Amino acid sequence: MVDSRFAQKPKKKKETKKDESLEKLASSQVSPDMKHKLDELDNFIEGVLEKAGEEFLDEFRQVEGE
Amino acid sequence: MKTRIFGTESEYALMYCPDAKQGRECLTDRVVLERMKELTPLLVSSLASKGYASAGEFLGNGGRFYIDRGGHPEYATPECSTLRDLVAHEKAGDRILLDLMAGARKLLAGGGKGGNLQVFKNNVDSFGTTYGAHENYLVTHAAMEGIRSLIPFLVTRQIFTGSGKVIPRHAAGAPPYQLTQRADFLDQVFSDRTSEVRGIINVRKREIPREGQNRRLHIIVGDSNMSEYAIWLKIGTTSLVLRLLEDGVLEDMPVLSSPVRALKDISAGFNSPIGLEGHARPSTALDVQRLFLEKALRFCECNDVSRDEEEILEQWALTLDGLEQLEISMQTGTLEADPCNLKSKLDWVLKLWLINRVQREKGIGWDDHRPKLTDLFYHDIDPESGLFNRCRQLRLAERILEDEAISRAQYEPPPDTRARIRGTIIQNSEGKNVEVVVENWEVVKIAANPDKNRSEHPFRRLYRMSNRLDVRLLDPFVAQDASLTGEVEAFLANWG
Repeated sequence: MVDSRFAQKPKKKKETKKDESLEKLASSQVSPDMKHKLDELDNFIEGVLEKAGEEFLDEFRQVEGE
Repeated sequence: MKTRIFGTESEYALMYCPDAKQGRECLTDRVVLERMKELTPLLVSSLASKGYASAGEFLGNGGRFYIDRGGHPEYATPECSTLRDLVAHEKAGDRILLDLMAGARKLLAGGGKGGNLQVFKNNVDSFGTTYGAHENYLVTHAAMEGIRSLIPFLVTRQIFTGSGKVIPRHAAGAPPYQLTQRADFLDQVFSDRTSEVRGIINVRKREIPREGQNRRLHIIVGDSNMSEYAIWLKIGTTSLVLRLLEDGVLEDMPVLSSPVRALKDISAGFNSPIGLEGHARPSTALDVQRLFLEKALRFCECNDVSRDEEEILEQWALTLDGLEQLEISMQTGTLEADPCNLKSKLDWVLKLWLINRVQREKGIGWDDHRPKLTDLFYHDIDPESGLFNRCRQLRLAERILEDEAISRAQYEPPPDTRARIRGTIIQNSEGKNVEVVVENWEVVKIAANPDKNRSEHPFRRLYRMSNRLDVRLLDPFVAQDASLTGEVEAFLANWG
């Protein structure tokens, strides 16, 4: 299931091209300090998402509030 | 009204998995409520162990913490009269919840129970169930009569107040991301209900207004914001526009043809066309916001304005300029360019930027679970796992306050509203032989205990009735009253 989702991505060629160009532009503009922060942020997010796992969404159920 | 009282109410989502890997139950409302019934008393009983003075639902900082409908812990800020105090007190609520969660974890562990306990400050769960974020403003009686003029502002302000939401199971070709969490759950412009049917403005009367006196405006259309800047701008612009309304300068402002429809359309598409009565050509939310900003600028040129209002005007204009330059494809859910760095200020922009980073990094689309998890964990109030808080720590999110101001607000009331009197009474009564009952935001009752170690005193009721001091805080602007303070001090000294 997850693999098929991964496989969907390359179909969006136009978007990917735009994202890549923006990414290149962005990466050429960021300072070493910012790059370090962004790396730290990406690692942090990856850790949080991995720890939670997909099943977290099924368990995140609330009762209606106001 | 040049100085206004305002406050916010945040309903938090408590997430408790008794044991993440064992015996997963089918999560019906009943199961969730039973879990909350087990957990929420632990939060409440952690108040004292975490050093928070309290009297019933009210706290020593003048605010209120209680368990609301649906088992949601709710924090209401004390009455504030400056924007910085308001932001400090709303963020203090997150810290208080975080402390109580640590206390509850300890109590659970002490009882031999493990599991995972987390608190989120958002407005919707994975199944489309909502819970609120409410705002309160003190307004003049006359302004309340013309409150319809505020609706176009409230409907369109979401372009800078929204917290962003990944749309679960979005239809093919439909936008995967929207600006707000709450827009989907609003059905009416005015309603006296806050569940099942909701209005942009709630008109339930909780108190009988005294003739000729100011009234409480209760707005329930907003999202829970994580960003200090977004909270500050939301409350600041709304308060300023209320001042325009009170001065009667909103009469010629446009009227939305269908406010609730517009609310949902704007949330789904930043530049969605919205109909205005008497206008053949549709406008956008940005157009409407610009009209309100221009009105405010003209008003402030010829009226006294506070430093708060000056700052708000400046930042409101910069934010609208930034939104104008934002390049975003709502259709693909892609933030393409953000030249004014709004992602450091606005929740929905920062969240989208984070999701796009995850998508690029992992090569995934919107159907993957990770955009939804990123959405949810953006609102996790724990700095160890919350994505917004991590951005703040890394200085990727703009601050309005120093940390010390938030720490202070956890324990101290604002200095210039009646919350100061309420909070001081609660703090000073700690350890005294009295019981403080905060009946509501206006009335505090202090009763002497006949014998604090013996609840079965034969004349307990009579004793308490005859040894009681009722404190009425009818004017929210009164932060000190020498004779009242003297009376309270004497009473406490007598029964200390």
